[in-house]
Amino acid sequence: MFIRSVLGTLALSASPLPSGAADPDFVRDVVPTLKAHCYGCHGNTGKPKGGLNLAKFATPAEAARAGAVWADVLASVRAGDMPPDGKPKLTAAEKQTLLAWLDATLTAPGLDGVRDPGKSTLRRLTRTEYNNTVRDLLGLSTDVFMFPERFPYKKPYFDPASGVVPEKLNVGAIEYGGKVPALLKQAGIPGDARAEHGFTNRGDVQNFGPLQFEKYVEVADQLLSAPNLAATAPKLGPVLGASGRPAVKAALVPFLTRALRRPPTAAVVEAYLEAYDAAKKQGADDRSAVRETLRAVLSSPEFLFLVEPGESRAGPVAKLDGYEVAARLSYFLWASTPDDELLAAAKAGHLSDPAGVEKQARRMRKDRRVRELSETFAVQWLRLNELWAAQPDKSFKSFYGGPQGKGTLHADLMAEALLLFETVMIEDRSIMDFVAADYGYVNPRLAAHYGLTKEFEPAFAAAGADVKLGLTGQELQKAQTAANATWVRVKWPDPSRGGFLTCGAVLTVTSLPQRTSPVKRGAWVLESVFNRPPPEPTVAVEPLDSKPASTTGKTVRQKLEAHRKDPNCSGCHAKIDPPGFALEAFDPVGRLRTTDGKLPIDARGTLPDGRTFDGPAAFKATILADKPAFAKAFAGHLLSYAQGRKLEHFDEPALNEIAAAAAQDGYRFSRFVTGVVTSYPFRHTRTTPPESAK
Amino acid sequence: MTSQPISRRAALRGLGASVGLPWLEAMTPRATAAPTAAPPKRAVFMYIPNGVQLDTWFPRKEGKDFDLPASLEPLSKVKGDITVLGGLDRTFVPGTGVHAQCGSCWLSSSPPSEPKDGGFPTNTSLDQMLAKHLGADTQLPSLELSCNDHPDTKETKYFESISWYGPGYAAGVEKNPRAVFQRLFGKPKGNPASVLDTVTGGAARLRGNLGAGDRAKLDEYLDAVRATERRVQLAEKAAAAGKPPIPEPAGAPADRGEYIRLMLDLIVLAFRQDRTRVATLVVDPERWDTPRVYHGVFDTPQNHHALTHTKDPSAKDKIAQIDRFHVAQYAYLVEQLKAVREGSGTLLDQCAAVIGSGISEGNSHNYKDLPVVVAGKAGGALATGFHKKFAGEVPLANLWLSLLHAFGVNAPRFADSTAPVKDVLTSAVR
Repeated sequence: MFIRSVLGTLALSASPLPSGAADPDFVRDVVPTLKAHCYGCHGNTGKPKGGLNLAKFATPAEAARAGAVWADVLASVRAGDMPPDGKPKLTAAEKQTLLAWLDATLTAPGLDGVRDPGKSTLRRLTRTEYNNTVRDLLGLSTDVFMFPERFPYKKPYFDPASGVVPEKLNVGAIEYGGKVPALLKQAGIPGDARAEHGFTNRGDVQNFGPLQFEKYVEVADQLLSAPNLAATAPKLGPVLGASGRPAVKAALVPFLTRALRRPPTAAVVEAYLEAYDAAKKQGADDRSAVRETLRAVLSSPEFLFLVEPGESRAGPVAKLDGYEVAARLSYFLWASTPDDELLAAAKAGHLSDPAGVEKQARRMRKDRRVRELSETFAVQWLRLNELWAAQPDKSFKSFYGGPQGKGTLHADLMAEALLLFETVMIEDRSIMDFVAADYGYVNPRLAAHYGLTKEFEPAFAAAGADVKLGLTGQELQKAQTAANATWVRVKWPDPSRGGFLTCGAVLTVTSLPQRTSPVKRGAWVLESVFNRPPPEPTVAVEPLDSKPASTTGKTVRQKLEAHRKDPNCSGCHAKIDPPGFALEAFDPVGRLRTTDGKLPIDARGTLPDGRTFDGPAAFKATILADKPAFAKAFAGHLLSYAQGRKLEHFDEPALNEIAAAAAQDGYRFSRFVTGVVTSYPFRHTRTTPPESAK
Repeated sequence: MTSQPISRRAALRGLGASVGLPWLEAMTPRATAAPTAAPPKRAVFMYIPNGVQLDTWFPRKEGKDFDLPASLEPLSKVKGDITVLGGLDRTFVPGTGVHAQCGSCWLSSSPPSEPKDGGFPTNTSLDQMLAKHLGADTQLPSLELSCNDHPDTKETKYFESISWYGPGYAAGVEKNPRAVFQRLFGKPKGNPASVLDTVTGGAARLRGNLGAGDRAKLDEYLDAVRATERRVQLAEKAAAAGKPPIPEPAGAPADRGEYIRLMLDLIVLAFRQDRTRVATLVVDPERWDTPRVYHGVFDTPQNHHALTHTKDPSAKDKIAQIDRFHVAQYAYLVEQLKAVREGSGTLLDQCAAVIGSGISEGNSHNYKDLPVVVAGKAGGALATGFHKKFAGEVPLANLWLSLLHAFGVNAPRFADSTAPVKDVLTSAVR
């Protein structure tokens, strides 16, 4: 698979290959190079290295069918991983010709001349999507149940329609695990495991266990038994209030349209009315009988799965119909069901062209429900769902506050990261701010944690969030709690801070309790920033001890250097470790430091392409030196999430298109959303199995 | 996490007195079976992650007169009921992480020719093979439990699922004792019976419009609907069995040993009332890196995985202590099973109760010489009371194949097995 198998991250460029020359011919131009440089290890040797035999492709047609293989080759060659050290290098001309051929081959239409849009495996609603879907379908003012993916913030500041995030705001934090408003206090459904290097909404990794069906039925039953249901669930009113079969049927049609995300056929309406009829036959009143039908709807596969066309449509590629596009849009931007306006746009045929799709996306970005792009997409993209489990050592005193240290910094660190994402999203800034921004949000506690109280004092004073001197004991604690509810936008005093790489949340998630882990941090950077996660280690080695430098007399880096000399390790670690070294300037809870124990921090590094840096600011500058690469990597995360599938080599053209269009408009966030929703793979689906599966 | 309002011990004392009903009496609905019929066979598998300290695990002496090293010492009371096996191996299949594969493929180690889930050689796992054979008549085909009540699912399912319905299709674990209790003794909540027809019809409509890959996903849903259907029918019948014999737990006990033993109690209870015949318990996920409190063993939380990669000799001692702690919980299970009279013997006589790990030596991620202990006679099919060390390459799946045979499943092979392990079988099944 293209995205995960490639190590040559840092040198990867999204810019198109030199054009002008005629497309190279496989047999005439490419095979001689492969023969000279590759077949020795990856040929008909009986046991080709890595199981990769390139000599088996004799004709251009045979070669073109193996896109995934060539995607790997492209990435390795482009990054300079292949040919490996110690073997003759490709000449500049050989490399250019080979890359040009690879690029042309990978971007060529793959399905009998038709461009492959990919196929998302039948997706079940995730727990978050289920909650939001039921909430919006019934018109609830709260969540359906409490679930861990819902973070403990009320977010009164979150107003995407305004186009600004206030300079001073209150995130409305609730103690984690504390009570959040929900209709059903005890109910719940099983959570979702994330895909390796991916999101929880991927149909191919989702499962449906025997427990699960009963849970859906149980939740539906509790929902429909809730007191004052008609008032709590206003959108259910017409159905609940109907009496007599004709009236029930009339009310059911619009409800089914919204629940099943498309107008039901007459047969579907009748099928759901059977539950009503059966209950009536047993003497139930209208309302109880209707409830039976609603229970069946909320437990049905048509509701629980996002259904898109399969083999029944003429292939190999089908354009999604308006209702399917509406569902993709709403689950991408809101993690919820299409609203009435989207369904109307689908009905009117407005979603069959990119302009109509873009118009809806623009509207949806201004809706509060777009918070899920931050709380679901961004959180999983940045692996911050793991933050709550991080347990820094108790010696990091500023991480633990209050009685028995129960007031941890988790929620504050999470808020800082979410606020950066939301600022870029709502204010439609450049996504390069994700890498390096000169601004950020802090509350007094976080400012103190970062050792920046003095710098930000004026900002807090202006916001009325300074703690008056002379308070002690409970008074002081109360005043502190009140002050900490206030967040202000600040300008970081030096460029070391700013962007996700240097957010305390990220730096904590990628650390051990007592010390940093350049390897975890480096792997995080490769996956989140470059969208090129490193492979699993292939050899077992003793991990470094988890003790801090103060007790071992060696910095983590010094310990790691011994590892890096092992030729079994150095290949990958040459890419993983340098970003981690840059972030050594931060301790395990995200505070800047110059020493580890008594030893000085060495935050220098050399990238595989030879560029050097010293410290986080300089490292971030190396990323921004190739903006198209970061744009394409980010587009990849977004496109994968938007479709609920792993990206494949045939998605390359779409990613290039999205990144190129965004570049024309200063890499503004909205350009990526627009790029994704108007992209070819977002609006089409493959209807036949891929060639490789035949 | 809350502890239970009533102490587990007190509940169990009550249990001993009032619900000492053998399986036939407790399950009046099953009285259609002749009262003279032999009690059913049951199987339970307990998984420990990250391997064990080998020198304190494997006995020195083979045969019936084997010794119990420190880690196995808690089994001294039931030494005659257990078999300690050494020298059984798994083969790592490149392409996945070492830890992810050792747990997820412990009971399912497919040869390369069988379908795979990405790089994972997971196919239908042993417990699910047994459930298909044993579970058709019970309220629940099988129980899958984990003693990891950590709120965050930070690892993928490969680290916490040893039970698989098929490639990539994990059974999913229940971690909350309260939910397990409700599953065993609660009426199916929300009256699913009445929606079954409608949703099955919906699935049928959908199915015709889906390609092969999507159909497989939809079939998971349909399997779940069918499992519910069966559970509804059996639960209706079992309602006559009266009130649940123990109070509903409030949640996972804070004390680690109590938590594990409560889950084991629920398994024993489910077995004795014949509500299920197959169970798995994952003590902790593989490669779990969040430090755990082992109450009564250490003063501070311990990171089991990190300890396996620490060269300091004190780490080895700690691993051995963790091993002994886990074995003590297993010994508790075996003793509980043995305490229940059933037919002319004990419940343990009808069981195979297995404990083991998918890694032998954690530091090197060694898949050879895996630790495994089997207790119980599986209705007279299994020989017990000895230690045997196998030489050369002997797949762990050979043992699993023998267990299948012991339970009356006459498969020619299982997973990557090469031959049954005859030593564990009595002459009745050889």
